[in-house]
Amino acid sequence: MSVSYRSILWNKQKIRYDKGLVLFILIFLVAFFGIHLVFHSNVTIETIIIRAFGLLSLVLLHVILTIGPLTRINPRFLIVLYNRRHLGVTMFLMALIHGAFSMMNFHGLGDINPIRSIFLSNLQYQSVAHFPFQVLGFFALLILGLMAVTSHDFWLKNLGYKTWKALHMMVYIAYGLVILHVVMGVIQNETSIVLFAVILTAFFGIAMLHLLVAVRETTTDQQSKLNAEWVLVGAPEEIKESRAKIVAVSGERVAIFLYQGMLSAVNNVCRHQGGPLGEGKIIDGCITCPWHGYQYLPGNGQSPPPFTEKVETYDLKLENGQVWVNAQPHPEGTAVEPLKIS
Amino acid sequence: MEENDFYIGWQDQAGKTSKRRLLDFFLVSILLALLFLLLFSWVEGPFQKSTFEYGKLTEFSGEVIDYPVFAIKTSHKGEDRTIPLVGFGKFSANPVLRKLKERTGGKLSGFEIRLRGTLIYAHGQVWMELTEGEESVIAVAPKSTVDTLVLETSGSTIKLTGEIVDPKCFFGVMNPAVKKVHKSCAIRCISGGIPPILAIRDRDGEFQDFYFIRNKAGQYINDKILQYVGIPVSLNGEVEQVDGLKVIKIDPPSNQMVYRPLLDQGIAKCGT
Ligand code: FES
Repeated sequence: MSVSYRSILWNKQKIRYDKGLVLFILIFLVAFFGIHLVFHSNVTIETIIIRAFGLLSLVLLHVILTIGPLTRINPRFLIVLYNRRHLGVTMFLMALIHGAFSMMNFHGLGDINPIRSIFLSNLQYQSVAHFPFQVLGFFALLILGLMAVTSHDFWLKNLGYKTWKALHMMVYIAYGLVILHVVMGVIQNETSIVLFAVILTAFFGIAMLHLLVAVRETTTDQQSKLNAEWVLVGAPEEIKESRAKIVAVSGERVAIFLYQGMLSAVNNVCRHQGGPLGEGKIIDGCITCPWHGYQYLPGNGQSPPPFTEKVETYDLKLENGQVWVNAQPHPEGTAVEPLKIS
Repeated sequence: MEENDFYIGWQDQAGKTSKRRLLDFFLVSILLALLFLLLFSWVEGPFQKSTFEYGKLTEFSGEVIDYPVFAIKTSHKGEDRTIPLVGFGKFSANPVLRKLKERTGGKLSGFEIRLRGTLIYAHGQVWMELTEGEESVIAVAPKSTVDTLVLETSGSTIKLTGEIVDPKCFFGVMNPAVKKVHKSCAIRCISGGIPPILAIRDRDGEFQDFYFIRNKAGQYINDKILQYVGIPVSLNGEVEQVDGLKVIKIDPPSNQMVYRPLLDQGIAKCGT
């Protein structure tokens, strides 16, 4: 573990997670190959590989996009989230096999370079029905590749959180491209409406999940529009020991933690990957981020030495049994006297 | 959530509830994935039977022709056949044909040629890839008898509807080798000189009739029809049959500027 970036080392739980992922892939591939060898024995092995890995990466992408909103709706799913980057890199590798085989098969050994061929073979860019759908897949793969390569914390530290996060939000662009790639390619090739309906249902499912979370969080953020100096948090009894309540203050979310009869307020955004600190817990005296376990001292918002991450802190006051938080944050890592409530 | 069930990534063990949740998530995901897989496998296809004898070389002896396609007239499994020849990868076998003509002084009839290649077959048709390029020609020898080609011409313009395919993939190298997913590949093959074919389905949707596509002068027009590959098309043209191989001769576009309007007289696109 280094001071400049923390890598979470292998542990039993992580190995169990990855074993599950490998098992998932094996079950899927064995089922796909088995069904095709028995029921579609005329298909060439290249076609089976292209379709198996294409479908597998599509499924994994949906799983990945489900995890985020699911944990916001129900924190019990946090265990699924923490190793999501392995899922992401694996999904990219599956998509890469699909892309590489497709490129070798459909564009290799020809009169022009395979990459040029992706763009220059089918030129019906003006047509919806005949659009060269492989181009969409190519760009999606490029984005997913960029995300996989930069998924390590080394890049997070070197690119800075904002750039890194923006880069990784491109997963939604990649997802849009993948859906179009599938709808304009495979589905137009098959005559059944069933596949089209399934893909559309999956797409709307993902969209609805994200929308649901957005609506919930917007409701939480409503208070931030009130530009008061002090914002009401509520009665201290609303907060469980070692846990927090999140309120929105001047466009920022603030997590107010209760521990040993005291309250402390820090900015809700973890400096690692933007995890919601307010959904975390105080462990061994430190606020512990639910996503990957980065820690901060509640009294000053600083990660315990030798780590250097810091979040903003806020003043609290108690009036008529109600807790209020000051809308003006202190600079990151500023010590603030905890509010004693008992 | 149970108080002690807050799992952090670096912890060796997760609490019971967290573990259970992870297992539930895994089971639901794999179940949905398998359902999707079954559904996909059920609706895809059907795939027609075709073979590419990858890794196996077969030898044939016979006379070679270059119209309507570079082919060898030979006997295969006790049947007289004219087997069209294609090159390795997405290329025609024209370099082999040129080399052969150099050896025979430009003539093809009157020579017994021995060739070696990889067989491709489907829909009752047999093709061969000259996998080893010029090395595929094993022997060239003069022969006493000269075969005559049987040529029949329709004399009138007819309209045929089907799909323009590249025969190398279509008859076995790839499966499926039709429609949109294969369009780019077919374009590359035809651009590489593989003779385009109009494949026509019967009422049951099975491919049963195949026509080589040429211009009125009988020349290749591969580069002029690339964007019409892999989609349903109707071709207006004169039909002829050379030794059982069918050809449709369509209007030749004279240059790129008038290519589309001229081509559209010869090719009507459907379903665009
Ligand atoms: S976001 Fe990774 S530990 Fe907080």
